[in-house]
Amino acid sequence: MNIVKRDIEGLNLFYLPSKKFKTIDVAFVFTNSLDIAEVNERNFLTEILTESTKKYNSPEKLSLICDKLYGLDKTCNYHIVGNTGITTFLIKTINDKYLNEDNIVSLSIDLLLEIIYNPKLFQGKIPKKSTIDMILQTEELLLSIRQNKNAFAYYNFMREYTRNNQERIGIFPITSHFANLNNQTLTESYEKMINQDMLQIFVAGDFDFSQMDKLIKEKMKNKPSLLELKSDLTPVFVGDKQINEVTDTTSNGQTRIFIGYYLDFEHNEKNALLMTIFDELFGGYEHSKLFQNIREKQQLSYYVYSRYLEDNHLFFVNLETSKDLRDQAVKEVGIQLKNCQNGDISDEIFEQAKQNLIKRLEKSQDSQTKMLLHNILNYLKYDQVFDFESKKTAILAIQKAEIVELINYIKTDTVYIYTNEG
Amino acid sequence: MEKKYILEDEAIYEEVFPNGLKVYIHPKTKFVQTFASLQVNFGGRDFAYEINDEKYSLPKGTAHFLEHMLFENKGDTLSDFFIKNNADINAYTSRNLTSYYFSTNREVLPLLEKLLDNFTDFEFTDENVKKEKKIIKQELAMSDDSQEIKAYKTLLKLIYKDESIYEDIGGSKQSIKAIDAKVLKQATDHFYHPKNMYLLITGNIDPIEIIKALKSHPYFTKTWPEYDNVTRKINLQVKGKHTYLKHDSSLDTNIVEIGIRIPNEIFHNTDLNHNLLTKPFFSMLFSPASRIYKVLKAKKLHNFSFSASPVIEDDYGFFNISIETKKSKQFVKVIKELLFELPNATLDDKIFKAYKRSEIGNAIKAFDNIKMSHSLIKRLLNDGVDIYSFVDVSKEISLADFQVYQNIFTPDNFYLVEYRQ
Repeated sequence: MNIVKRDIEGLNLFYLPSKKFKTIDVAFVFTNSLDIAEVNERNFLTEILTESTKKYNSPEKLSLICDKLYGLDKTCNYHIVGNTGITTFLIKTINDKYLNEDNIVSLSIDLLLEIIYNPKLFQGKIPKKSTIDMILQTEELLLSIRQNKNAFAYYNFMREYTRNNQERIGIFPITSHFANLNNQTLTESYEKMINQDMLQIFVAGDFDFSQMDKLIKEKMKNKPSLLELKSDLTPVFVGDKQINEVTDTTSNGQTRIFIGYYLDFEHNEKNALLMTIFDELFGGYEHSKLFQNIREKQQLSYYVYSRYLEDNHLFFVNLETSKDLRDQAVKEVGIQLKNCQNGDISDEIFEQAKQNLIKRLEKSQDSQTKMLLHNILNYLKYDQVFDFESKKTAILAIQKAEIVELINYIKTDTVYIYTNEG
Repeated sequence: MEKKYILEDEAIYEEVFPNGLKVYIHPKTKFVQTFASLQVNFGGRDFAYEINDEKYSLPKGTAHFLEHMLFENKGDTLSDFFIKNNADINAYTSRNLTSYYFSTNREVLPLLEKLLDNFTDFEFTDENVKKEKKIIKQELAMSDDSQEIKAYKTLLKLIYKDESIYEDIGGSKQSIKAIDAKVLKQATDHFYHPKNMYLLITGNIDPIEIIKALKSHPYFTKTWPEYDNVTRKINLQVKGKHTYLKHDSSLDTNIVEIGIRIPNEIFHNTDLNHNLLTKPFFSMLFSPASRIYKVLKAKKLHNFSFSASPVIEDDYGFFNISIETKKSKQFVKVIKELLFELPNATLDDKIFKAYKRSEIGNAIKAFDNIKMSHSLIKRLLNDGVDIYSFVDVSKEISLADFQVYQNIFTPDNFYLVEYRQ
């Protein structure tokens, strides 16, 4: 899939042409410098804006129009990359070519613009009722998280793990900021997004470029569109000299273990790739170090995996085991990491990890939405199109020694255990 | 080999081999990936069954245990081959079937051949059985402390007498102790026969080439013993108690599980295609455009945890609604009022027409996605739906078809489980 920047004044507009699919994906991407104080608001907006609009002023009406547009998929999410907040509105619509109607794409884009630019307001503000509803729902969600031991353990672990990085990594919901959240702050966040965020528009699918140019230009007339923003997408993680060990207890059940690491090296494109490969061979698949040793050889756990979150420079291991095997499991994770740091990584596992990554990239070509999202992020981070062949070449060029050198800068930061009292 | 069409541009090649295995091939050559699933009609419910009027039993959890063991058949680790060939393989066991599935961007034939090798004959060692028991014990323990899973299981027990409906698919730590190589042999002899299985392949393949190559595989050239059909008896007697309430101070919020049972006489009416009718019916009832949704939202009784879906198995069915909320008492009161209105309610034609348009769009999107395509056809085959007519049948569905389901929303069919703080 290649990317074509359109020359339309006042718009950052990109096309990703593809004749492979019967749908058209349209993404409006708003980026801003992260302000941790508005993480809750930005997350709330993703729900409130997609629930109703000025014209479709109830969830019922909005749902009905989406159904009429042949089941239009609409999503909105907010996530943080480095020091940048990204709000992405995405619709997936059926290409008119495959229907007996010829304006579905145009109407779908109209609906997307209605969602973004015509929110339901009361006296010029996001209604208090919507705000209160969202707060109540979030509070109920937190109760459900507490009740689900896996979710609760993960949520608590992430708060412990990012304790020194609260200004840069906002784990939603940030309950300490709830007291300040109201429809005024929500409205301010919304207006900031529309007027001060950089906007990029991406359209993927099979369509005529000049017709789409005309459509977008017409529909975006008089809409604000900031073209440039200096965004810092480089994540920084502040580690600790001492390991943070936390144990929470519950009345019954298995022991959940999370181990979070401090990656004491610079985050750049090369190091991110090295870490991604290491993540795969360490705990990413059935032949990984963790899976083979902790599950297959020692039967300490049904599942064990590692996860590298590139956008925030985080790396952790998670497993679940019985209470009596807990210490053995934690020790074994440490042993496996140490072995890798000492170079004990077979060529087979190393090459397989690289092939797994390449395979995943190949697979993403079967999804227009995935390719679109890859491109959006790649463009934001590196100002270039996501090129599969270059990525593949870069992966194949990686040497084991480079990984071993890098992972010696991985240090344990947080050990979080959620276990039963019995 | 027969070539039939689901849609104008979606063809399926169907072949029934002499050994009884049905193979469905769905070419989608514009995609990079290919998906394949080998389904066995053997699941968590199969701990008591009959063959030629003779009764047999297996320890609960055998189907799931066997699924694990078949990754180590004949001392060979199946996943090793797939990993080395850049493919992903996995499996799952449900109440009525076991599914072994893989996906690849590379050549499919060697992988298919390896998969079929694994099911041509069977040999398990005591050592592997012992090792797998430890892993499965860990797996079973994972859901021990889930209140949501417990509440759902309680609902099933409340509605149905038959253990095969509410027992854990994986069995229990106690029941799997009795599993050994002899038990696994009985299971493979009775269930892992080509006539009791089917293979579905979706992706970048040439059906003719695949069928030609498979014909000479030992799985197809081997002389299989005669297959005797398994029959299952199920007790669908109605239970008297309709409500279960548990107080538990360790809960952080209340859990509500509701089941509206489809009465046996309706469920076994062969004129009704439950798999095709209940989903649109229930989707409409709870869509954001519906009255029920509107009322729940207005009273702040709807949240992120809310779910509503039909549960249709081949021998029973019910509608399930669940939510986690502190306002469980109020939720139950309001939802009951809304549901018991249904027998006399007129469903909104405007919503229905819009819903039908969305289903057309969803079908186009499903076939535009290789994984969704494969899952959709697999689901239809598992549910016994005619894949070649389901599009036309779905188009003909009218609001009148839903009246029979509306009529079941009465107190007689309503079951409630509540876990309260």
